[in-house]
Amino acid sequence: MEPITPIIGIETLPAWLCWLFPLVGALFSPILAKIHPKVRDYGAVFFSFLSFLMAAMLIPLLFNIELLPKWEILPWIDLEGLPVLSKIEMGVLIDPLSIIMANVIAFISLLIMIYSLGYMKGDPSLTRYWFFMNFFIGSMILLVMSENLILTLFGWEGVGLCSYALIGFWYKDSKKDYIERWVGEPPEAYPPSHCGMKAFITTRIGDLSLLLGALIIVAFTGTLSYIGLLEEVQHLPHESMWILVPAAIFFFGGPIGKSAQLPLMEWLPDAMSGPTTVSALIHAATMVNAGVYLVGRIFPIIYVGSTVYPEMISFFYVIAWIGVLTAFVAGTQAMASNEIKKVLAYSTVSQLGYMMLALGVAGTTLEFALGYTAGVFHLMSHAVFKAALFLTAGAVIHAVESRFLHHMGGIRKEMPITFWCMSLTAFSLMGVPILFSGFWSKDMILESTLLAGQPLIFILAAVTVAITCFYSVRMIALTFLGKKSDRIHEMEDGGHHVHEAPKVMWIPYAILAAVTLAFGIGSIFPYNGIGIWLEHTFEGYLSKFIEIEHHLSPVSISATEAALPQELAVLMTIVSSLTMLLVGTWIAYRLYVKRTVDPEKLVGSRSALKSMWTFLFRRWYINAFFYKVFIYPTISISRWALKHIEESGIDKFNYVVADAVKSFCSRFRRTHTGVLNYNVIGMILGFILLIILMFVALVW
Amino acid sequence: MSNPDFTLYVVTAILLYIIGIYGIAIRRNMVRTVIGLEIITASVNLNFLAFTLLNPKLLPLAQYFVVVSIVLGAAVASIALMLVIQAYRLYGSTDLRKLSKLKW
Amino acid sequence: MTQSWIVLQPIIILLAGALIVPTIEFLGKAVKFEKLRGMIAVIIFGLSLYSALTVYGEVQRQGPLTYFLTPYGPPIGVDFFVDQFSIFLALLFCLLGLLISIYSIKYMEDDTGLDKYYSLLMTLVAGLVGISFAGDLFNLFIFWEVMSLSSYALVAFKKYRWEAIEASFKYLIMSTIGSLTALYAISVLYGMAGTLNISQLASIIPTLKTYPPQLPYFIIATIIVGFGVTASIVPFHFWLPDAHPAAPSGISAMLSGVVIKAGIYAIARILFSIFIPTAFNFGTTLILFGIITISVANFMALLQRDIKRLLAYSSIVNIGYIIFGFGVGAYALNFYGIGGYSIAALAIMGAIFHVFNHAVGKGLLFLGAGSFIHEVGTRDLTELEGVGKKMPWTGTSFSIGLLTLAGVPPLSGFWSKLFIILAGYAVLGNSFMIIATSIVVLNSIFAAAYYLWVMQRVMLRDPKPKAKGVHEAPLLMVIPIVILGLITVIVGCWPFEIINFADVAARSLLGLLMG
Repeated sequence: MEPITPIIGIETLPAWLCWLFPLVGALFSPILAKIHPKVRDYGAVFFSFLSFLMAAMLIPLLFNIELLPKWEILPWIDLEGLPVLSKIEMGVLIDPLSIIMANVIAFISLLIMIYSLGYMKGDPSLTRYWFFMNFFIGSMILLVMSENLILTLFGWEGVGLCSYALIGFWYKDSKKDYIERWVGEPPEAYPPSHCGMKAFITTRIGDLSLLLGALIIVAFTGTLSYIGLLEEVQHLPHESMWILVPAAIFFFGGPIGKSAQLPLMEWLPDAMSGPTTVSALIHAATMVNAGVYLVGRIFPIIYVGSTVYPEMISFFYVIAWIGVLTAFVAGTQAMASNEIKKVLAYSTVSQLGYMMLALGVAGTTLEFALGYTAGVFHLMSHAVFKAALFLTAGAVIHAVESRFLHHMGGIRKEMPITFWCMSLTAFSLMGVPILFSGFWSKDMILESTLLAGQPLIFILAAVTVAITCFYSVRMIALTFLGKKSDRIHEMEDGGHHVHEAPKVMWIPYAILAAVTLAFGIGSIFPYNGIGIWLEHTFEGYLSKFIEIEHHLSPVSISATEAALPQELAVLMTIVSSLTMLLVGTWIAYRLYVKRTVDPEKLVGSRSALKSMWTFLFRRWYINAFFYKVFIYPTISISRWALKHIEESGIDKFNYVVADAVKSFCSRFRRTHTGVLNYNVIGMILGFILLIILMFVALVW
Repeated sequence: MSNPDFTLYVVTAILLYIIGIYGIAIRRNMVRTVIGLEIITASVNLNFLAFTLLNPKLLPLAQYFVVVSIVLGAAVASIALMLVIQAYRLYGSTDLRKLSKLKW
Repeated sequence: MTQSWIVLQPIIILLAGALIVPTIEFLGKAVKFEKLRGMIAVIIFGLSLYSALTVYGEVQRQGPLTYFLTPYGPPIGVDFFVDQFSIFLALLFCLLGLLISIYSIKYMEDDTGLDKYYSLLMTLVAGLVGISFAGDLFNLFIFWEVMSLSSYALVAFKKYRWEAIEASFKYLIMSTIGSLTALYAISVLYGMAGTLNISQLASIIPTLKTYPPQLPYFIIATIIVGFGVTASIVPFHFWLPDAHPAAPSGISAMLSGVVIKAGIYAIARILFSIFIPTAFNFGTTLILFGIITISVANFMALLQRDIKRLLAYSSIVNIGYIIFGFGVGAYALNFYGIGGYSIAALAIMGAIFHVFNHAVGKGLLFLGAGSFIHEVGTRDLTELEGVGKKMPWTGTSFSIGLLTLAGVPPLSGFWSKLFIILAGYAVLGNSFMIIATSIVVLNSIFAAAYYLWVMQRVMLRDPKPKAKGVHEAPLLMVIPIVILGLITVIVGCWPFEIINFADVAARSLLGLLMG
């Protein structure tokens, strides 16, 4: 490995400021709110703009990867002699992954903040909103910019906190907001505060696993910084390497939670009870990508470890399989969902599965760069189009005042801009060829699975493409095409007409739609397209750390041998993705656009279809399972413990002790009589006691 | 120890100290308390000078100490007496036991 | 050790200030500017802090400084000796003096005789700085008396109230008994050793053979009694719960924060530098008295209803921790010989750090309590309920002060208590130490009860009728409180600068051990 030196000073300043500005902005929100509400609103957006500027200043470095990585460390705690964690430093690490992530986050956050100006207008608790949004942006950028595990964990926890606070933003849980603000339908209807708690607890379980894995890794390698871990993992003694496999898998538990993979995926659909801006920011563009980022960060470390210790490849297999299963399961759940945001939420889970899948298969082969890039590229393009989809969905929800798909319909004429933006970005999601970035990134993923020699994964992923197309077309059709629903007619009779979103709301998602087109068109060029360029960047950068030795693991060799030759893989990919696209779209088109067959009647008539539909609608019963097996028993045990242990035992003990102490003290107080004479006598007695003690000491 | 006068002075000093403390600890009148304080001052001064009997080299500095100590004793006594007068004005008597409103 | 006259600077500045203020008052009946006194006081304190910092810089560069005031060297002359421990305390004293003079500008504006107030405040701090800079015991005693006399007068400042007179009288009598007892010990020491210079005594005492071996122990006992009165160790503490509430709040902060630390300084300096712990066994005594102090004061503090009296008892508790810390240090050195040096350094470093933390925290609390009392007009905690809600800045800083004394991380009080307790447990295999340290831990938990109780009353309840109409205290009263709160938080999160400073101070206190 070439020697890499840290750089201190002005060059790393944007990296520090990028996450400091939003945090400062968060702290300023209450102060600005006292000045004037408009100052507070624009001030909050301003800080996220500053953060975007700082991130943008780092982009030129992407074109000069010889200069990377740069990092800067400030010592924070330095206690020599402690066996572990004796040195904790704050630091930022600038490398291609962190630059890309920071820019994605900062750019999309800025657009969403601008959108919030319109979406959240008139809400009474805006100060709290801006505070948590800025705090979230700061924590997220800290997470991706940080140089060591500890700061990443700080950011991780920070985003967890903000996501809890923002999902449960309308925590008053008023029943009359059911149509707009709750999530789900009975028996799985949940109010916002419940959803916030659910998100927090589910991700917490992932966090515990992450912490456990991180502690094991730190205990064995003795260092927390990423660059340090890269070095250390090569030098570990062979006997103790076995612990790194479960440690890495535990470590992956964090991403499973945060990025809503199986089995911890159930919080994400219910997180839709927060404001749409929150859904767009947290659950499309940023927080859920934290898990992917973490896997990307840990990737070179485990990969290098696997060249030394072959069993570590199983880590990548775990990731890949969890990813593809999640993608499939979530996609099917989206097919049967009744709410517009829930469709998008399941879709997010599904696409995250794709990203994990890509990173997973990348680790099993020699040419890791393709899969790695595919994962990151898909992250970028997904962030853009999913954020746009959520924002347009928010505009629609505002217009129709309901979250249910069956309350919408036929509003294409009244909301043309929104229609076109949603359609374009949905095409990107579906992977419509050539013009849309989703096509390029998704195909890169499929190609990498073939090149890694994983046919089963490829088949599942391809089928999921069809499913994706199905639900996307369904969503657009039910929202914009067809006849208007009864509810809309009622609204119009009452005088509320559906109209286009205000400028401050449609400009951001129009920008995002344009960006997704730009990425798509930019990827067309055969040698300099965005995808190819990213691949070269990552390959060039990561090869600084990963030197492919000749003693490779037998598994990865066989994977490479089972792989298809490049041209065949590309051909198969394009053919299968196009086929699946057409299949899915045609079915959905017939059912929802042309309405040749009424889907309700179709499902109602045959019991096989009906039970399958119920199965999908009830989320494969995974959610119900968790509630029945974990939640309700825990609640009843807690209630029992409250009654019988806490109230009867512990509280009683407290009162007994407190009363005893109180009576002792009130009697003891009488010794301080306040009469000087007695005080002096006390002094004399003390003096005598001292002298006795001194003589005892002398004798000893 | 080599000088019988020395033992006498030291014992006297100790006795004075005890008398002074007794005065403060037992007597009820505030003025007697202040007097007790002065007696203790005297005891300490005597103790300083007693040691010079053993070691005449100590004499100049010991005298200096004693003079300073007397001055300080006077300062303390003046403040103390001021407080006694003020206390008499506020409480109406010089009984130390009455001065126990601040307790427990 | 280098000679340097800048050692005298802070003291001279303060004494000069003490003369300037009454002079201005005397001359300036035509100068009807009320705030002038306060501003002069603040300037003088600022200058003194600045000069203390210069001395600090010198000590950092050159090691301990000395200065002989008279042409005769020791044993005759008056000398000053400043090492890191002394300058640590002196900086603390000047800082607190500055903040309290800022506070007093607004707090005392309704009182008369303010020129005497500021003048006495300056002599108080001058005496304190002199104590920490003193190089021989008589010098120490003189500055000790300067400090004591100023404090007697300051406690009795509101001389038309019975409370101040009663408290000041009791304080005076007990404190003078203490000073005289200490002087008695100094006289015996002088007789034994022939000199009062601390450095010389350090070399003479351990080797002295011509006196009965009981005599040094008698002197140690008397020193602990004598200076322990001002340091409020338990059987000698009866004056403190009366004097601290009766004084004006700025003075209470000074008394609790720094004056009682002067007693600790004297005990530490004499016991550790002169009667070296490896040769004399006084650690057990200090530990025992520390525990008694902590326990008794905790019992008394729990049921207090007067806010300042509760804080006064809490000061006694914290002095107990500090004495316990020093005791652990002495015990470790005695028990393990020179091998216990690292434990002793840790314990003493914790104790010195706790001096800092308690001074800042208790200063903060008393100033905050003073603000509450100033606005609401009562000291009773049941009537002060909910004031923190009406006075947010003061209330928040007040809570920070309570939490730091309760030892809650990440505030600074946590660190110092942690070090003391760690050092206590580090003396291995010794059931006495384990029991003693466990008692300290239990007491620390016990103390959290009343700190949190006060915090709940003041911050979290709804305002009682008397407290309803108040608004935030004037700016000059809020600023010192907030500054102290910030110091607590900053030192709590990045304690390593202060820990290093305290560590160096501890090592220099023990320094004569290392040759």
